[in-house]
Amino acid sequence: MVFKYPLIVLLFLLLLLIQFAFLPRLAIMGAAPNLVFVLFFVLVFFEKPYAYVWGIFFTVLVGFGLDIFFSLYFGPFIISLLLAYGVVKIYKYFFGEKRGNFLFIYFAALFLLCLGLFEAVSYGIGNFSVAPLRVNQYFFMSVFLNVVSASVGFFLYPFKASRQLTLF
Amino acid sequence: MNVYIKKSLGSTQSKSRYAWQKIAIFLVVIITLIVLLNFFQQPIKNTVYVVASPFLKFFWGAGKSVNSFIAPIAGFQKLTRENNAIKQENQYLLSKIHSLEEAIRQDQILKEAALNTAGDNFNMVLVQIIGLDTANDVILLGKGSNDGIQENMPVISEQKVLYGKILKVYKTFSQAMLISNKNSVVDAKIQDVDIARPSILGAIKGGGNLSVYLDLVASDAEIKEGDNIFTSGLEGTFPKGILIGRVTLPDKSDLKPFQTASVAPFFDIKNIENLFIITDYKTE
Repeated sequence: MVFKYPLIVLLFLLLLLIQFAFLPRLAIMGAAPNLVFVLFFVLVFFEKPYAYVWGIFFTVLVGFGLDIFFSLYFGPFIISLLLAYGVVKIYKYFFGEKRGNFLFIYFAALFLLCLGLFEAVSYGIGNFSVAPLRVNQYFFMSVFLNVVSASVGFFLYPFKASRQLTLF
Repeated sequence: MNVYIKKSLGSTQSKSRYAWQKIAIFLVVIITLIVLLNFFQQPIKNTVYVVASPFLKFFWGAGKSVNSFIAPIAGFQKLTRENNAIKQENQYLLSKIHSLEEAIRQDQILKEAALNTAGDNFNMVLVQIIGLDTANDVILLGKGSNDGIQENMPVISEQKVLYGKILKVYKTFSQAMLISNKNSVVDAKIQDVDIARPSILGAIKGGGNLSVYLDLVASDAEIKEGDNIFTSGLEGTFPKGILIGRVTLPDKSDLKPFQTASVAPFFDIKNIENLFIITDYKTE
């Protein structure tokens, strides 16, 4: 458990590099899943309710990494991730820790909301272009790939957690 | 009882005030952090790129290998290789044809022989691609101000296909904006297959997600599917005669003041390792 946080940070660094240099060449119809955001969301969603300090530090760190590679200046991704983090926290505050069969539905709905917010804010702040965000094939493929990746993360996360519990 | 209610109300108010204070402090810290990061942006980004570049190069190469591994599974490896070779040859030949067309036209008009285009005399710097930001259509290149790279220098491929221009320069790295970036506008000319016909002027605009389209073509001009598009050199950033793409679907409407067209760009970022930066292009 001591290595949990450094391992998460390393995993993020790895995904960041993959996202920037590996996935663009394997894009389907020009779109690729945003693995960094997916992992961020999965971890924040399953985070303990009052682990704010770690959560915020982690959010700023991931935003910093995304701003380095995917933005011309610092800010857009730090702000958009903090907003997404805030949405998850507000959801948890009002609806509590959901458990049971419907958890995936809550997860998927919240993921789509946060993804939309993240994309809109980072695009809005980070792009000086007046061109509007286009809803086209690329957009739908991108959303589909992100939802599939998040679903994989959702079903893998409890498996890993329960395995860790048995191991330690 | 009253004392208890007053006490609990007071405690709630102080808690609320305390929460607002915390939020305010948090916002100040975040804003200060972002301002500081932007202030030291150049050294921070350059250092991170230096540290990450070996890994990025590895992943960029691995992406190509995996891509070529997946292709045979679908049974297209041979076809893809042949197609890529034909594409490259075709682009090379198109570039040559265009050079020859230019020479013929100049010969006809000025009665002078011009066997080579000015484009053949550029000084170019070979540069490796390290990564691609698909959201903004920006690529990271492995050379920077230490190698004489400056902002707005044109970026082309070996086959003289236009990729974009340098957007931001760091010490040992630079970012190039692809022509598919939504902020990109390139003055272009559309060349009919029949070289006797005059070329048509327009602008190639970035559509995002590695796509471009043709805009600002005069409504009375006649553009056809298959027409080739080259840089016109009018805006002064790019030399004239560099390949851009091919018209796939003209869109002419009486309601619009200009014609537009869908364009298949010649650049292929997925299958390229190196590009060239033109370092000495100056407008006259």
